[in-house]
Amino acid sequence: MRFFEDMAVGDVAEIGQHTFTTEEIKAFAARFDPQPFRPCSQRRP
Amino acid sequence: MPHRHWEDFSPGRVFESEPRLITRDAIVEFAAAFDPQPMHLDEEAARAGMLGTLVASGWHSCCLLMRLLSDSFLSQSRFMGGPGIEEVRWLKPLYPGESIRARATVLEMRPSRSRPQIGFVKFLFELVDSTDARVMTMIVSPMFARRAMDDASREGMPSL
Repeated sequence: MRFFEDMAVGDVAEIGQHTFTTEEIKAFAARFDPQPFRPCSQRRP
Repeated sequence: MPHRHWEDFSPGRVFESEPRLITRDAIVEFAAAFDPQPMHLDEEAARAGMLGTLVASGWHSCCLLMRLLSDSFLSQSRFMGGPGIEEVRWLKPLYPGESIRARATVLEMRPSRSRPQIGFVKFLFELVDSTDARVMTMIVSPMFARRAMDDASREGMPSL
C-alpha cells in the first residue's frame, strides 16, 4: 500500500499497457461520444 | 447534415441539454470498467471512505457531459472534435438517483490561422444537478467547420 509519504517529485510509475480495438472504440463512442468521425475511423493509421 | 457552423456561435450564447437520470447501476458499471475505486463500486466500501457514500467517478461525469452535449447542440453542429481540454473541475459529488443536465456557454471565438475552413469556440461546459448546483465544469475549445468548408465541398462534389 502506497501512502502520500511514499511518493516524491520526479517519481515515475509505469502503469501498464492497453491495446485499443475497433470494437471497444465504437462501443465507448456509442455510449458517451457519438460523433460520426469516430465510427468512420478516419484517423486509422 | 448538421446546419450550425462556426459563424453561427457568438459569445454569451447558452445551450442546454435534456435532463438525464443517473442510476446506481450505471455508476458502478462505469467505475468497474474505467475507475475501479471502492467509493465508486460498492456502498459498503464507500461508507468507510471520505464521502461516506457511493458516488460517480469524475471521469463518468466527464463522459456524461459529452453525451448530453452530443445529444443536444453538438449533433446539430458541424463539430470537428478538439485539441484538448484546458480545465476540468469536480465541484460536487454526483450521487445515484440524481438527475443531471449539461449547459454550454460560449466564451470566445477564434478562427484557425492554419486552417481557414475551421474555427475554435471556447466554451464553459457545466454539469448541473436537479437543484442547478454545479457538479463539474470544463473549459474547452473545440473546432467547428466554417461555412466555407461546406461551400467548397459542395462545389467540388459531383451532382447526383
